[in-house]
Amino acid sequence: MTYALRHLSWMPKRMFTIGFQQIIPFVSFVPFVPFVPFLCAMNQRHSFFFGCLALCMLTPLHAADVSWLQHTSPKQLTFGVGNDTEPAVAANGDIAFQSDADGFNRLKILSSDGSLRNVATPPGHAIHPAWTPDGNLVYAAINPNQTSTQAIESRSQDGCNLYLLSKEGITTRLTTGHWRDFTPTVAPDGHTLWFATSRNRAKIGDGSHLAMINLQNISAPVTEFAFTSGGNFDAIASPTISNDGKYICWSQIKGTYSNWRLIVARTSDLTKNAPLSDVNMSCYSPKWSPDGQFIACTGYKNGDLGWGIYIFEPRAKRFTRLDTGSGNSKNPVWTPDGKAIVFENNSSGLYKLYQIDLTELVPNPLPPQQHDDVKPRLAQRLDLTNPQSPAIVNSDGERIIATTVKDGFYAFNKPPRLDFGDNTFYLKATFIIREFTKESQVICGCFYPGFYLAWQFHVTPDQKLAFASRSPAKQYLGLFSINKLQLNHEYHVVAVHETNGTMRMSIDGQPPLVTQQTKSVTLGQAEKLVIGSSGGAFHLHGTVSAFECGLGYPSNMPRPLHLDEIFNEQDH
Amino acid sequence: MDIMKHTFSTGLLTALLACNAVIAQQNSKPLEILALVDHYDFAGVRNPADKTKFLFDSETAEGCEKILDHVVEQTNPTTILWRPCSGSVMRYQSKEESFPKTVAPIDKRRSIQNESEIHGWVRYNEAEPDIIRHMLAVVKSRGLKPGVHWPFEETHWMGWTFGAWNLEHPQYWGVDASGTPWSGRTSLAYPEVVAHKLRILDELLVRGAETIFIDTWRSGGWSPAYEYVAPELKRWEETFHTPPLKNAGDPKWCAFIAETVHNYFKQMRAKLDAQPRKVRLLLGVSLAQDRPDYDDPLITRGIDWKRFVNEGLIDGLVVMAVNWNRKDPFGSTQANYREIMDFCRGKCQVFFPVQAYNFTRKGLHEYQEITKLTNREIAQKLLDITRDVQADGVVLECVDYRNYAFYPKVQPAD
Repeated sequence: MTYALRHLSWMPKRMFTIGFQQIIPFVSFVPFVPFVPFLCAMNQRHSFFFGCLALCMLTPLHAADVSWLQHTSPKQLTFGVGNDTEPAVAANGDIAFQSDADGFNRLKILSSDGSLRNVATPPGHAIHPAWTPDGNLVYAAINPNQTSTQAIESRSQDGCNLYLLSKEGITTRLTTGHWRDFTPTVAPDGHTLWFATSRNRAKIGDGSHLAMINLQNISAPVTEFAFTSGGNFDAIASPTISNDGKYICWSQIKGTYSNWRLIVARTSDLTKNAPLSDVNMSCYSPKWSPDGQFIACTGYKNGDLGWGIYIFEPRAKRFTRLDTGSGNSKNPVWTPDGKAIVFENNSSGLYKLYQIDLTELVPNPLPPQQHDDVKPRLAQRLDLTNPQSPAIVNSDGERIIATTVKDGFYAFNKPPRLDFGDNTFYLKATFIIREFTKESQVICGCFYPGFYLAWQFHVTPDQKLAFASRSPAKQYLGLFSINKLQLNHEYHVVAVHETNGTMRMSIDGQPPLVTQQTKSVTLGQAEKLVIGSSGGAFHLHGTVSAFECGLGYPSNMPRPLHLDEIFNEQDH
Repeated sequence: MDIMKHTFSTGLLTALLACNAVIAQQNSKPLEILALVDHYDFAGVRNPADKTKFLFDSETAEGCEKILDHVVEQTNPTTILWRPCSGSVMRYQSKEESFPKTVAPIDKRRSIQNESEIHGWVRYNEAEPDIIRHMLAVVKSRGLKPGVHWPFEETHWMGWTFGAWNLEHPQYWGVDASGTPWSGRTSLAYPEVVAHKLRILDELLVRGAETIFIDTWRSGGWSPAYEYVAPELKRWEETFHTPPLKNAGDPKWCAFIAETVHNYFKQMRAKLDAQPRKVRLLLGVSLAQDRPDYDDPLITRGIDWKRFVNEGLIDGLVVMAVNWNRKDPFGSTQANYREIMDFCRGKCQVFFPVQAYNFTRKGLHEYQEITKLTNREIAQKLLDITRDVQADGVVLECVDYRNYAFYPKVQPAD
């Protein structure tokens, strides 16, 4: 839908039919030609109309291949000074939101009768409101009244913590600690409160992970799901629970080069999760629709004019962007009947709340899919049965003897079967470190034409294990262990670089660290496989007792579920 | 405090002894000593006498002045280039970077760093008084040259350092060859982005910066690989009438992107030239590439530094690293310096590194590995070579807590 047409509010609402699972630009005046006489008769501002029409002719239209979502134009809900953001709609239609009119974010409630009232909250910022089904309000609060030095020296237990305001006006503090608990959401049954937290991240790595409070027993310990975010620069935010409580969706960013993505999981086992949005989009702040069929979120895709409201139908693997007009549109929430979306938009210069009505939204889930996954295939395995003559062996038992053997370093020139192309490939190694040095130490790696060590395991100067690969632009793509390695410990490590750019590494059978990187360079015929050194430098002070690489996922790192498998209740 | 006094007095005594020897060796031209100061790097320094306390509160005026005291005591610099930003989160109350609040988790998209440590909680952008304004004034009042060390980056490798403006304007984000946008950095190909950066430059100038040092060594992972944005694709098609090169490391693509970067610097130069006072523009580049046919600043930063020098676009070239040879560390260093000086002489100032940091793998640590000399001896040799080739000064990257304690004090430049 063109932005020019959005302003023609006198046009039939049915005109706002959009969707772009496949986006096909075409000259946009064509579908509107039949309406010209009608429009002219309905409105005297002919010059305005023809101006708009001319603009339409110049503006590419996003044509839909499906007509599953139609909506009205936006209606402004809040006015005045300050930015009104992060709306949350209660079961009775009240809208809680944060407003920064005085520089601090304060909570306000816009009642369904149009009245506006302030919410009493602790000093500082009150943010991220969420409702319980029975009308209590949960939110996060942070009071920046100290420098970080002062806070830590005074052993402050005030970070960003969660509070509950009952409908009777009683405030209960739900969490305490010098960390950040934020973006709370309450499950539709009202029994559990889910949120993002940064607690214990010193052990896990920078970022945040999921946590849950049992609202029926708020004194019980917080349940943490640390594995939902396992590495540095790995953060989650904004969990949301489906109407039946079976599924959870959150937004997640993994790694320096990645964008925010939506992840869907079963609440019964959060390890069963899959990405909903593609790597080439930035999506966050998901909200499950009241009927559990759709997810609204903030999103951006290359070519968009700014942030927009996207509607995903996860079971159909389709999505569309709503036409919310100019400016950024963010943080959508559903009304209780699922027939409207409330969101924030800054077209007026400030973020204000708006609502659009969904006149048609038709779910059309797909049946279970067949997945043509790459079958695991051993490429080469290190064979040290004759230590004087190390070899690599492929799945057919063909052996290649090392061309160089020196002090625990083995090199194999032009090893076959390492042409992984664009496919998911894996590495496995067993090794011991005897000494840390100020240099990196290469455990294993492989040279390809034009690529120095296109993939490798190495020990970093700061004593961490790295799984590294290369992007097509020769950039180093790394995934690092959180903890430092120990000397004289036998490590078993397995890692994959997936076709979609995801890198995973598991150390000693622990849940894998994951980072979202760009795709690997296309791997053709390898030039040289090295074990225990890069060849001329980066010698390993230790031993490698096993090495293996191949296509697909090895047995001890099962492939992640596909999205439809999350909903099919059956593991692959 | 006692600990500090002890440290300072010991350091001072050592410095004075060294100073006599050094000054005696000096030849005619006094060197300008550029000290790069990142107050964030001082934030987590514990008090050795009481590990529950910190030596510097880097969010306060007093704490930052104490940091400056330490830097001056260690290195006796002539010029302080204070870090004004973390990525594109400005370390003062920036109007340009004020919304959405660059504070986690008020902006929930900001991932969090060092939760258990002080670093994850600093809010320089909200500190009172304005840190940059205050510190540049203090530097000047002490007779030193005040400037800023502005990395050519927006991310500094952390989600939490994405700028507010960046997060509000995804339509200007960089895009890779596959069409995937990257939220880490906006593209200079959009006039709106350049205008935004020039407004930040205005903010730095009104705070008293007299040297603007753009450090392209610190690129935050950006490269021409993220410039497959609509304006560049259109310009390419109009220029070459072919699809854009998919290999982002192709020198032709990088030279093409370098035009856009060059245009940005031209606009910056024009703004500085319009100032009522002289403001220097320094460009930092790493020249440590080990292949003669590989122009690292061009391929990885889209920077054609020789063109900058030839066109008088910059007042000074700050060489962050050179490709010295491990077989002849100081001889090859001197040869590298000479070559650069031959190119730059008469066109701009030149500064060479005395580098405590080793991210370039060409710093003091590497010299020490090969030569087995002490850091002080190596620093002295590098100073001697710098004087010998008649360069204008040295750059100290970056002066942190006691990491330049070995540094020989030199006679400051006028």
